[in-house]
Amino acid sequence: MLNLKVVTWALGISTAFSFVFCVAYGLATPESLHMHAFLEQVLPGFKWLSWSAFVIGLVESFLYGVYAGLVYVPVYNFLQRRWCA
Amino acid sequence: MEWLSQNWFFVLILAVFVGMHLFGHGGCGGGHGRHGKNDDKSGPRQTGGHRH
Repeated sequence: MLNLKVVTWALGISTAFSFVFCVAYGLATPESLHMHAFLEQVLPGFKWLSWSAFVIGLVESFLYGVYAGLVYVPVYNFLQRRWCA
Repeated sequence: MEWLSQNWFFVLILAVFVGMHLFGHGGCGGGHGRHGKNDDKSGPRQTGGHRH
């Protein structure tokens, strides 16, 4: 059985870390790679680049990970109870 | 209100996440078995450290 709280926190922190990595990647690479546009598409309210937008993107990235955990853990636990009991 | 209509998804996820913590769902140590120092099956626990 997966622990809902642990997995949601782990995924939230992982996606927040990934957001920081993507911002760093966007700063380090030329604009032709469209990292700015990608982040603006998947993160509502995010505009490249200001501190307030960075905080918004960080929170939204964290919540994307939380969403993944909230969906994945119950499904996993359900299937494990059904098939592995 | 316009902001809420645009970001309702994130508000919903945040509310569920906070609620999960407030109501203690999915916490650690979910009550399977006994944990800690009192797992010995040798009868009642001695509270004092002095033995004769």
